[in-house]
Parts: sequence; structure tokens; C-alpha cells
Amino acid sequence: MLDDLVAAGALPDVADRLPENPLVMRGVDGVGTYGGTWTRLTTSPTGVDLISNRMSYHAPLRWSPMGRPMVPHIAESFEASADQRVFTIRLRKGHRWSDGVPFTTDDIGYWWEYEIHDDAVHPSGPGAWMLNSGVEPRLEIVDEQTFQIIYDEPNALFPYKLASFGYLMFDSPRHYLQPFHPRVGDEAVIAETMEAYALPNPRSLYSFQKAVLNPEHPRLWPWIYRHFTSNPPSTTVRNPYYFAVDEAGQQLPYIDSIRFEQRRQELIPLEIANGKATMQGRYLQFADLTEYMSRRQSSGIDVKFWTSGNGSPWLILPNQNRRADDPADPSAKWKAEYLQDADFRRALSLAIDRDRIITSEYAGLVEPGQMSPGPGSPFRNEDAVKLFIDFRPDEAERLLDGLDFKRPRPGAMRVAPDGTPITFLLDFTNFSGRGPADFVIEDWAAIGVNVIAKERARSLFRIRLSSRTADMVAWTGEGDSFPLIEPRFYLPYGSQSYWAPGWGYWGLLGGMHGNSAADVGQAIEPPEDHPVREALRLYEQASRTGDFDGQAQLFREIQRIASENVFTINIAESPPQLVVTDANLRNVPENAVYAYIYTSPGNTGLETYFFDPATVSPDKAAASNALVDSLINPTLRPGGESLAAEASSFSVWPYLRLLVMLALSGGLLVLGLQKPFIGGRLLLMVPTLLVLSVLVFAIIQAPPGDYLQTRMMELEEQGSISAQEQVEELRETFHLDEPVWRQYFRWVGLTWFVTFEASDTGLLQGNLGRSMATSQPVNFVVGDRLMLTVLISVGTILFTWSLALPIGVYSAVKQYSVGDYVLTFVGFLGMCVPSFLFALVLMTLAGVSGLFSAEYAAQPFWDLAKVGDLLKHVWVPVLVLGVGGTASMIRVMRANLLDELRKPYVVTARAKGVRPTKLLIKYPVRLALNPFVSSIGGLFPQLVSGGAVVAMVLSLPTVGPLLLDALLLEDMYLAGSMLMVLSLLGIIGTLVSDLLLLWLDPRIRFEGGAR
Amino acid sequence: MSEQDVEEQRAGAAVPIEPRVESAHPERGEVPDADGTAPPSSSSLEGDGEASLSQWQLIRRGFAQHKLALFSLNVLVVFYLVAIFAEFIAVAPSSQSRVDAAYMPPMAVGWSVSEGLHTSLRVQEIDPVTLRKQYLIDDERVLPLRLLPAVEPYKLMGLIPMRTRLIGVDRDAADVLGLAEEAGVVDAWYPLGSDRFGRCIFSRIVIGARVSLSIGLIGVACTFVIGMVVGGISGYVGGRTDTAIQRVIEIINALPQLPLWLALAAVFPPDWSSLTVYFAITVALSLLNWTGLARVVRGKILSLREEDYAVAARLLGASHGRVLFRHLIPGFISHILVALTLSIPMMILGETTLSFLGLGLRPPVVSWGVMLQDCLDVKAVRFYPWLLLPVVFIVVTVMSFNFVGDGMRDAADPYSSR
Repeated sequence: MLDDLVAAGALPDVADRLPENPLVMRGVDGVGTYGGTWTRLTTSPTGVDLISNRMSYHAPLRWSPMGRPMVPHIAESFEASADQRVFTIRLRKGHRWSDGVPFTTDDIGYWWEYEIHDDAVHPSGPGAWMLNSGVEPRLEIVDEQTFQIIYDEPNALFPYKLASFGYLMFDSPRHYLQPFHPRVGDEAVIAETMEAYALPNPRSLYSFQKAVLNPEHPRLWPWIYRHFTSNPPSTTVRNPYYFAVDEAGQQLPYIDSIRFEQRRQELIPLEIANGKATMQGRYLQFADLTEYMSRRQSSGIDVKFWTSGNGSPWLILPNQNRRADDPADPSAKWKAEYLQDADFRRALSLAIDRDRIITSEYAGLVEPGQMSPGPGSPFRNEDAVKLFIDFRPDEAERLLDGLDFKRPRPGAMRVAPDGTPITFLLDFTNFSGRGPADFVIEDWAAIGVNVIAKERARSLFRIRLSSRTADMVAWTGEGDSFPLIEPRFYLPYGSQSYWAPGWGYWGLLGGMHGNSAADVGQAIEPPEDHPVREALRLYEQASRTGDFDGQAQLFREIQRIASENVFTINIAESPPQLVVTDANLRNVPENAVYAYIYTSPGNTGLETYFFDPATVSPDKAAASNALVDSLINPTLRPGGESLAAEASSFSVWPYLRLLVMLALSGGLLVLGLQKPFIGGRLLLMVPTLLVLSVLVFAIIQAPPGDYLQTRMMELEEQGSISAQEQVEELRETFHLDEPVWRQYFRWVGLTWFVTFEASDTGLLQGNLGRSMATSQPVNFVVGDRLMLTVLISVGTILFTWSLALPIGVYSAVKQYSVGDYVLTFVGFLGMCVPSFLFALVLMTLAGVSGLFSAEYAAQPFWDLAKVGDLLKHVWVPVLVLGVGGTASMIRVMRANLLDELRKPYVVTARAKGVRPTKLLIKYPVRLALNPFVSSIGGLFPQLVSGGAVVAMVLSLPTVGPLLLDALLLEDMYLAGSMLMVLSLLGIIGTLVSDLLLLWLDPRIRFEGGAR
Repeated sequence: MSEQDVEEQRAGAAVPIEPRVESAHPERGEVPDADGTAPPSSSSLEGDGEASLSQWQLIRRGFAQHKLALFSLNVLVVFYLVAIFAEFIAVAPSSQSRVDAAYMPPMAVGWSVSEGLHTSLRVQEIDPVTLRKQYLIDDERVLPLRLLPAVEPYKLMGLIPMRTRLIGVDRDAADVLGLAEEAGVVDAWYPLGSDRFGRCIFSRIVIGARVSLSIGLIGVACTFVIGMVVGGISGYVGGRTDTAIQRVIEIINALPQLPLWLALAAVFPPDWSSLTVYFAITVALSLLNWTGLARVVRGKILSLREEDYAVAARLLGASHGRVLFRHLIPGFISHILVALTLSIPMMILGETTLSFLGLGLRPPVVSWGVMLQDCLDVKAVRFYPWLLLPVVFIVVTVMSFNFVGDGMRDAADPYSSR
């Protein structure tokens, strides 16, 4: 697909795009052919972030498909000094960023100096993987291609970490990023860009530019993001400057693009089984094996059983650093005390009936055990695996009684000594899924411990942990097949040690050595004689030892400490990782180890995957022109175009839009003045919207501990100066210091009428506010969802009418006939079946979900083919919604027509010999249409609301799912704005029906209606 | 869209609509109705028998002629009785799970002279490739059942201690066969199959009915209070108050209900107890649902207020309360009942949808909506369709309420000649 660009002179020849010494990669099925699109499924808009790591291995070293050994990757060569202190990395000469600019050590220098060591952009310092006993290394740049990382003390684990996390060094192209740097950037550029993207401050601008979904940002990835769409699917396209070739010297990757489609978690198994994903392991649960295996033939998929690199498919982490002074939770003091007690955790572990869970969830195929490296791993401590895994509820009760956590009377839930009832929350995300939570909670209830499982959006989950308000969380026990790389679930190792994030900071930042860096707000020092100190000492020892066996032995000891103290509660070992691929995809290994530390599936050489040319036609596989074009001219984010166009010419569009708006509102005003009926309706919209906005704003303000508050708690916990600044910025951005009524005025946009400043616009000016989670204007997020929502609603109305009108007429004319009864009954049935369920069944049977096929969904512009494709999909939601509304419309039509038919004029006309059909159409039906039309007013809000739910089930790119996402994230501004949008649609629908009525019924036209 | 909206639109439409008269087709003249009742004649209304009937008796008589409505009413009565005696009728506690009997298909009950009351005996078999759980029927033996078997003690409605259920596995007979010891043999009865935890679908439907059916009633009680008060004030006081209230009602009707419910449900703190969530949801549902009733009440009061008897009562010095409660309300109480009946299905569907989306009731509470959460699992539709059974009950309930409401409306309409 790149040949055309080369021919057109837009790209240099392939030889000039490759480094002097390119990486040669060899797939299991050999040399492949170019072309095709790889479809992946995600559950959230942020799921596409995967392209920055797992889907684009770009570390200096690379793990093999089965884990060890490591091989040079971005690095041409890698060398460790004998004392494991100095690590020399040599880059490939002629390696280029995706925009053709050479990639050199200068970029590493920029990353080192202006990113990880610059508080202004990266307040948390270098990542955990760089630290050695809490001490940072030095960077030495030798020449354009060579740099060294130098530690004071030996760090024998560094090469492993380099292979797993080293990619973090390679995402900072100085030539692109420096102009936006808050400290050393070009102030004019910063100011201009901030305005174009409506961002509140330089810091957020920098992270906005660094974002994975910035189409302009040069990358080293095999597939790069060049084509912005405000809503899924997101598509990446192959990097023309990628540095690897196959054995025949052809530049990799073979596959043209990767497309990320968004589906609800629950729908992923269905889509995968229908063959809608090209290759995927993420979000696949072992429990769905039956579905995949039995659909292999019919859907053309292959199921592979990869070795799971996880120590646990579902791990419970009681938070030992639970905040004791939580104002929102009176029982926090007791929770904190119990969670820190090893006996409490042992009791919880002993209370779980693991065999039952394994039978039900894992088909009885896995062994029970505590978190551990898998069988056969040199790191595994066999004895530690089996600690506290027996099902002994009596012993558990005894342990809890010993803690002064007693049942007030037999059979009741346990309470604190002062009688406070205690309910623990078990947070989980869609990443681990609900898993066996229900079993565990039932088992715990049996020993008197009350726990509620609650799904959280991922960012909220993380923030609740670092603000230390989470009681227990569930996650998967990741990366343990090489546990020394990230031992976060065995010892306190950074904030990702979800069972003790505070100790994690302390341990990681070298708290044991009295390192002053460990004195930050988030770090908590564990008690003097706590076993975690011993675990930390052992880990440090491992990093000083160059020999692998010695490292393994030290780890086995760490595992013993972790299991004895039940830092984490595990159910069972990991079942194999299911990977479902398109049966035509080649070069996918039969077995590979799948774990986050190996950036799986990146370790299996995604660049070499290709579609079998014998079975996939090249036409079908070709990338769209728009995508190829985006390689030269990236499709920018909203606001970006204005930045690019600003210099060029004066744009007529904003003025034209203003003109149309003025004309429309003027027309309505004139109409309103002339027709009192419409005038009344228009006037009524004002209080309606007012009440509505107050109501919605109340909902926005209502929940204690929404996203913003939790996020600020997290930042305050950090305590650093830049964190304080961020809190201030958040306060400023969301005007938290102002009284509630002022915030409301601001949200609605009333302030604007006083100041006329762009920053004070609100709902009235069409500004939907800012998402709490991303600080992004909501308008950018909504995109064309609004149009599609309207489209579905209007489509449904038309469908309902075209069905209800003839049926209603028939039912009235043939009253009490068999047909009348059958149709009425079917109509009733449609009304009574919950629409979401009907949608689900229809989707399963018809295999249609979403609004577009994959190839059109990513296409930004509209053409006939895309419209045709939309029509192929839109019938499902329209049918589902329409069926619900049709029944009542039929009844309205039938009843009114019956009324008309009984009038004397009908009899007269019949007696005078008018033909029945002509009579019917000409008089009674026309009169009966009135209430029919007016009922659309009531129908519209219900359509919008029903549509929202159906869209959630069907994963339609409309407003409804956005609302649900926002509610789950507790991003209340986004949710509130979506509510407003939905309500406004309903109100406008009502208005339109009134206008129709006006046009149809002369009585209203002349008299003004007697409402 | 439920029936009360239709009613409302008819009332609110700009065109004055005459009361609906659904008599025989004018073209066909007075032929017998499809359901065979005698054609209505104007004389029958003035007949001796009917003249002495009270309004309620008339309504009852009208309703009794509506066969479908009568049948639906019986269905509802059965459902509510089942809900009341749920624990007794269920064959197992709703949370009792047996992982070795997960995804059991429904087991029909049979009777024969030699074996008495029984069901088939099933043996679990797991497909080695797809790991699908299947159950083979044992050809030679059956699982004996009996009425009123002895079971673990439980409390009916949390009050009355009981030691037996309506029907269940005959433990003594089963012990004789030694079924409990055999590997793979399921010695439990699942009349409507089991879910992924091996919980009895039938028992869960029966026990879940209590929540799902009562949420409609409690919600309707709230609706009744709000609707009567607001509608009454609006109609009786009239004037500006009336206009203001009518505008508020129009505003509320313009709101998309489901998203608002979602938002309301999402702001409930996660550590609320199940009971609190239950009541909160009920209130949330009825907060948006009272407008239909309020409109009916207002419309009726407006029209009855100016009737001669009401004017006379006022002129004779009756207090407002007396006029309202003694003279006006009895005149349209039947209409209120209709409006109420027709708003119950909305509530039931609302709870179902909320729970289904994970924002309503949560396990371990059992409701039909909670049970439907399992249906999002693709396996349900494809392999284990009996997981969809709660839908049948939801649909039957909602339809029954609609038919009953419909029948009541026809019966209560004095102009209806049916």
C-alpha cells in the first residue's frame, strides 16, 4: 500500500526508510504477503492505548514468544558490565521516527532531562523500573547512537526490566515535543495550541500532545495512529519507517492496519465467537471456552491455548493501607485495623470453598493455590502455594472471634467492638471481570463478613487505591512467570502493589535506606518488625546477584513470606490463556507465554502476522485510501484543523453556521408570534429546560466522592508541590471554590451574557462542559453520536408510523375480526417484552451489532456505500424500538378511527354511495390522524430513553452508551451533559410534533388550540 | 409506551375527543360480538335489573364480560399468591447452589403407577473438547418426588417456621437408591433448569417474584399519593396553580425516563443495603411516573366540579374536604384504579431494566431483572435458553396488567356500550 505514496513522491524509497542494519524477523510460517486489517475489540475508549505497548513492542530488548531468552530489538546491541552496574545500549544508525526524522540519543537525552526529570511535565519522577533500592541511575550519552545507564550499586535485574518496560524511553521525539514543553517550549506555540484545543493550562497541553491518540506524534511503533476519530473505532496504520524486515528483506509489518472496535464487556465473547476479531487474547475468559470451541468451523476461527504468564486469573487484594480517617465512611477506622491483621486475611482465605469455584468457573481443570509462579517455574515455592487454601470455615470463625470482630448474635453479620456494622467493598474492573466474586462473597457471608462487589471504571479504581479509600480490590495476578521483574503482589513494590500502595511507594523509593525521596506524602513506613521489610531485603539481594539460580532461590523465600502473611488471597492457578484468531491468519505461534511483563502478544512478533493470500482476497484486505492518505496528512483532533488552517485562509463556515442558526431561530420566533399555539409551546420550552438543567445539575453535584473528588484526594495524598499545583488547576478548571449557584450559572452559560468571554460559555452557547476524567471538552467526545441518535429516533418514528397506520386502520375497519385480535395481541407482546432483551436476542440470532461494518466505521466521510452499510445495520435498533412503540400507536389509531367511523357524516356519505375506500381515506382517516400525530410528542422522549438502553446493549455509537460509561466512571459532568442532550432531543421531538399538528389541523392553525 | 399515555394523549390532544365507544361496526350493524355476547341495546341500560345496580356492580359486570381481562386478573392473582407463599412453593432456597449441577436443563415432572410422582434422573457429562456441560437421562431409574417433603427448617415470609415445601425430592426414597454417593448423578430437582451456579431457576423466579411484583405495588402507592394530591390540587384549585402544575407535568413528561433513572440509580452509595436500594429505586421510579395519574385526576375533577350535584353541595355549605372526598372522588375512583393498573407495568419494566444494566438491585437480592443479568452471557441464548425464562414471566405479568387495565377502563366507562 506504500508503493503509491513512493511513486507520488510523498515517501522516500524503502531503502531510505530502513536503518542501515535493520532487524530481521522470522515468523513460524515464513515470509508473508502484505495487506489486510486486523480487528481488535476493546471495552472502553481507552482500550486503544494498547497500541503504545502490547500491540507495538518497541523496547531496546525483546522477550521471546516463550519468555526467555531476550534478544536485541530497537537496540542494535546491548551490553552489561561484569559488575552489573553499567549498561550500554547502541541504537541502529539510520533508524527513523514515523515522520522520517532520525531517531538518536538526542531523543533519549530529551526524555531524560525534560520529561522524567522535569516536575513540570512528569511529577512522579522516573518509573519504578529504573530504580535500584530507590536510587536512580545516571545517563551517559556516548555518541549519536550509543548511551549508557549507570548504577552506583549492581542492578542485575535491570536487563529484564529493560525488555519489559524499556519502551517508555522511546516515546519522546524531541523535534516534535520540545515546542510544547511548558518550561522550555515556544510560548507563542503553546498559547495558540492551548486555545485551539480549549485546554486549561500548559501542563495539560503537554500531556494532551503526548497522548496515545495524537495523530501528529511521531512514533517508533509498527502501526501508528494517524487518523483521528472522536469515537471508536480507532484505526492505526502501518509505520512506513518501521525498522524491521523479513528474511526476504521486505519491510515489516505485513498487515496494513489495526482497528480497535468498542463493545460492551458482556458482548465480547459473542463477537469473538462470531469471528469479529482477527486475533485476540485480551478480555477472553476461560469460562467461554465452550462457545469458542463449538464455533470454530462456522465462524472460521482458531482457538489457541497459550501458556498463561499470570499467577492468578483473579486475585483478591485486601488493602493494608486503608485510610483510617475517611470522612465518608464511619467504619473506616475498624476496616483499616482488620485489614492490617494477618489473621483476618488468613480467615478470609480459609473461608473460601476453592473446589466449588474451580468446578464452576474453571471446569475443574486448575489447582487451588496462593499466588505463585506457575508449575515448573524455577521461581516456584511448592510449600508456599498450599498455605491457607483449605476450606476451613470453623477455623476462620475462630480467628475472627479472636480479633474482637464478633457476631452480635449467632447468625448475624460481624460488627466492630463498638457495634459499628462493617461492610467491605470489593472493587473490580472489567479487566479482571466479576470472576468468582459471587462465590467468595457468599462464603464470606457464611463466616459473618459482609462484602459487596462493585465494578469500577479503571481510572476510578486506580484513584480509589491511591487515595487509600479502597477496602479490597480484585485484579489478576500478572507477570509472575518472571516475578522478579515486577514483584508487586509479593512485596511492596510501588503503587501497583494494590494490597499496600503506601508501603509500595516506601519500598520502591528506598525507604529502607532512609532515602529522603521515600518521604513523599503517599509513602507509608511499615511497622519496625513487619515481614514486608524482610521481603524487601531479599529482593534487594536478588538485584545484587548476577546468577539466575541465586535469584530464583531468593524469590522462593519472598514467596514464602507473602503466602504466610496472606498479602493476597488467591483462588486458583491460571488456566491457559485463550487466544482466538482468524483461521486465515499466519505466523501466530501455537504456544506462547502470555503476560503483561512480556507485553504479550507483542512478544510473538505481531509484525510478521499476515493473512493467507490463498484465502483472503487482496481487494478485501486493502486499506482504505483515507487511511493511506493519513500517513501524509494526519486527520487531526477537533480544534486541530483550525490551527492548521488559521494561517491559510479565512473560513466561511462559522459565519454560515451562525447565519443558518439565526435564520432558524428567527423563523421560529415569527412563527411563534403568528401562531399563539406554537408561541406557547416555544415559551414552555424555557421553563422546561430550566427545571431540567437544575435537576441534572443536582444529579451532577449529588454523589459524594465522584471522580473529581477522588482524584483530588489522590493528588493531595502525593503531597508534592506539583501535585498541589494540579489540585489548584483542577479547582480552577472546575471552579470548585465558587458557591454552587455560581457553578450552575457557569455550567448553563449565564455568566457569558455578562462577560462575553469564550471561557465562560455554557450549555446555552452549545458548550457541554468538560469531562472530569480527561479535562477534555465534552463537545469533542460527542462527535457524530448526536446525529446517529437523532437518525435512529427519526427512523424509528417513521417505522412505527408506517406499521401502525395501516394496522390501526385495518383493526378499526375490521373490528373484532381474527386479524384485529391477532394484530392487537402481537402489538401488546411487542410492548411487553423488555426492549434490551429483544435487542440481545435479535443480535445473537442475526449476528448484527453496531451501526457500521468494520470497514465503514472508521471511514470519516459519508458516501453512498457508507449510508448503505448503515441501512444494513440500523434495522436492528429501529425494529427493536419500533416494536415497542407500535402497539400503543395502533391503539390510538384504532380508537380514533372508530370514533370517526361512528359519526353521522360517514353514514350519510355511505348512503349517498361514496365508495368505501375513497370515503375512508378522504375523511375519517385524515381526521383520526390528528391524535396520531400528536402522540409523537409523547413518543419521542420515550424513544430517546429506550434507545439509550438498546444502544448500550448493542454498542451503538450513540449518546446512550456514553452516558452509561460516564456514570460508571462517576464523571458527572459528562453524564450530566449527556442527560441534557437526551432530554433536549425529547423536547425538540415534542415541538416538531406540534409543528406537524399545526400543519395538519386547521382548527389549531386558526384558533390556537385549547391546550 | 403504556396505556396511560394513550389515555393522556387522548385527553391532552388539541381535538376534543368524544369518549371512546367501541361498539359493533356501523357497516355491519348490530351483529353479535366476536366473543359471542349479546349485542348491546339501548334499552338494556334502563332495564329494571340494572337500574338498581350500584356503580361498582356495573363495573364488575362490565369487567366480567371482558374475558381476556378476567383471565389476566386470575393470572395476576395466582402470581401474587405465589409471591406471598414463595418459600413454600419454591423447591430450594434461592441462593442454594450446586456447582456440579450447573446449567441443568428443565426437568419435567411425571407420574406413573409404579414410580409415583417422579422426574428423570440426570447424569452430568462434560464434553472433553468444548467443556460443555451436558446431562444424560438415566433410562433405568427415576428421581422420586413427593408432595410436602421434609426439608431444612425455614421461615415463611421470615415469620412462620416451616419444615416442608409444596413439592420436592423424596429424600427417603432417594436415599434408598443411594443416589447421593454416585459421582455425576444429580439427586436434585430443577423444574425449570439451573443457572451457572447450579441454582434452581424455578425457585429463583418464584422468590424473585416477591421483589419484582411488589416493586410495582409499592411504586404505585407512591404514585397514587403524589398523583392524587397534585392532580387534586390542580383540578380543584384551578386557575394559575392549575396552569403551573400542568406545565410541570409537561416538563416531566418530556424527560427521558430511563436515562434519568440510570443517573438516579448511579448516585446511590454502593454500601447501601439491598433493602434501602430497593426502596430508593421504587421512589425513583414513581417520582417520574405520577404524571399520568395526576392528569386523570385533574381532568375528572375539572369536569365533575361543575356538575350540578357538586355545585349544590358547595352551595349548601359543605367544606372543600367534604365536597372533594364525599362527592367528587367517588365519582372517578374507578378511573384512578385504571390509571394505576396501567402504570404498574412501567414500574416492573423499569426495575428490570435498571437491574439488568447493573444499576438497580444487586445480588444476593433476587429479582427478575437481576436474573436477566445472566442473559447478557451469549451462552444463555445459544446453549442454555432456559436462563431466559424470567422474561416469560415478565411479559405475562406486564401483559396481564395491561389487559386488566384495559378491561377496567372499558368497564368503568359509563358510555361504553360493551
